[in-house]
Amino acid sequence: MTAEPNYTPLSELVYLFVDGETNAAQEEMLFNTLAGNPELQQELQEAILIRSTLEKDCSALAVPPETTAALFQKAGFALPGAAGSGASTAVATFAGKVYMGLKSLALPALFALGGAALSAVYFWGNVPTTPNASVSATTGKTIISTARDEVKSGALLSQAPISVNSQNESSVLINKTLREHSVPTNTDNKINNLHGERNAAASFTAQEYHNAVEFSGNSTCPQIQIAHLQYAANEREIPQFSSSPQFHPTLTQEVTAPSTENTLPITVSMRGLMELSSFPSVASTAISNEFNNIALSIGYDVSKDIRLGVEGGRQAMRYFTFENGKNEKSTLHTSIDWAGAFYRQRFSDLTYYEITPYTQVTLGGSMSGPSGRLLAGLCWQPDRRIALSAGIEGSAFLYQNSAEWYSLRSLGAVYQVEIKF
Amino acid sequence: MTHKNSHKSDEQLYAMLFGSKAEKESAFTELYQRHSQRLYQYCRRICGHDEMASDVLQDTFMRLLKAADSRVEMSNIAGFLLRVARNLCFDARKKQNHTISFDSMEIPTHDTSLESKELRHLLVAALDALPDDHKEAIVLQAYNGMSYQEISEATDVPVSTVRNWIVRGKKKLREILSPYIQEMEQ
Repeated sequence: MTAEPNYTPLSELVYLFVDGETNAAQEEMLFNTLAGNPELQQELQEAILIRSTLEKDCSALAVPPETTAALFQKAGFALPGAAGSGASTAVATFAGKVYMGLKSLALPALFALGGAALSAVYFWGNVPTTPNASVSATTGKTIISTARDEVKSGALLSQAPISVNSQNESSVLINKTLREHSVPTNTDNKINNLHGERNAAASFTAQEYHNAVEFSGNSTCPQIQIAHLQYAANEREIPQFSSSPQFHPTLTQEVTAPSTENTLPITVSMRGLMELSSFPSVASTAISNEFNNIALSIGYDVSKDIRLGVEGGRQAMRYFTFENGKNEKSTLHTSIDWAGAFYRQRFSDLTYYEITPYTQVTLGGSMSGPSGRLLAGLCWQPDRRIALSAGIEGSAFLYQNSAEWYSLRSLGAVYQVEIKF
Repeated sequence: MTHKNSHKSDEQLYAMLFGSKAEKESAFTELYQRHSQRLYQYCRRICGHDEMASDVLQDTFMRLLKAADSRVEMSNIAGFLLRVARNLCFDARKKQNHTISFDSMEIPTHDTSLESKELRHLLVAALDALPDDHKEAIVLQAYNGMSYQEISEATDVPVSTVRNWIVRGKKKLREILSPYIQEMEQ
């Protein structure tokens, strides 16, 4: 009660009444007058309408999420979940989160499909066309193929018919050769077992290959030794290699699968990232429509386990740049471009069924400042030219604001396709 | 983290800003959730522009943090925030030299199907055309839900002046909008 009844005009009382600022006496006076005053009634109606319209406008004004994100980033705090939003906004945010979550999966999934398609194209384009290579898609089959070549060349069984694509027939030939050379029965069984497993698996694994190498190295069967030695010769690019059985089989002990025949130590990789979490936490609306969460790299194999290279990519990351390092004028970005040099370490001693653990460290920069990435994962190499890997990657981007350094950090699942040339 | 602070007063939360980083973050988040909406509405209507309102809102809360870092004693956090936001808004408006006169306002005169949304837009346009003190008093009262007394304290003017600003301002709004309201009613 701010107004004195005796000194307040009726038209003013209308607004005070609507604002709840009248006392009982003023209200009584107002109601008494209203009954016989249509103009005052009209003014009251319009005053109520103006007030309700102002309230509607008020409820329509919500703090933009990017404003909240910018403030919390400046303050160096994690973004609150639903700051400055009402219940309806929270519901919308949940729906938005679901939508944006699905959307965030779509692009990486597309990228993965692209990688798979690329792999398929590669395999399609590399289906062997020469008879001798028809069964050498895997390293294990190469042994059989070479054994068959030896047989075909007349070294031991020149009269035997060879079916190019028949692994079973090759096995028969090998077994026959073994019998002719009086290989003990238990060894014969080993061979048969080995072939049986091979047939069942349709291809050799690295371990099978290794077993085969060891067995042939110790075998008294010249046929197997020859096959093995020839394979070793191919591996080492020895131009001429005799099929004569007097070669000492110890060479075979040094052979390791898989073959790197005709490949350069250069690898091109494509990587997709699915963000799991970030700090400061990013609102669901932070995921932009841009082509994000990808990386391309090119690496050089310094050794079997060490690769050095460069890589670059774009990552969905909400951050701000400030003019002159001040907070007065900020610009919102929804993705960050980065590049750097990487060191990759494979742990081939821990290889299990062609799956090798590895870790990779990348140091570089982005337009906001220095950046770093750490990746740990598993790599599966089904072929000497193609490898697929998946893992977890953490990334950090540093930025400076008002002479202080802050960081944006992210953790995500990655999947990668590597092509060796 | 924020939920457990919801029962605490502004002053208790402000005191937590002196503490560890975790405490500071928790208290700041609660204070932000408590006051950001109203402050933004105030800034948005006073500045008349999204970007400017966002900048002012951010700077206002950053100043709260700076005040806490400097161990400034404070007993009315809401008042402090409003005062800072108010000063920043006026500074920003001065920099932009943002003025709208009644004469420059373009309000459709032949639209007979005014919807509530259109009326709101008209009202906002009309609000922008009011003198700053009238507009601010109306915004504080209608948007921030403050009483005349609270507005008087926040703006350091007598209650009677606040009342006059609000009543005159609303009369002016009605004067502008009345023809359209009547058309809408018909």
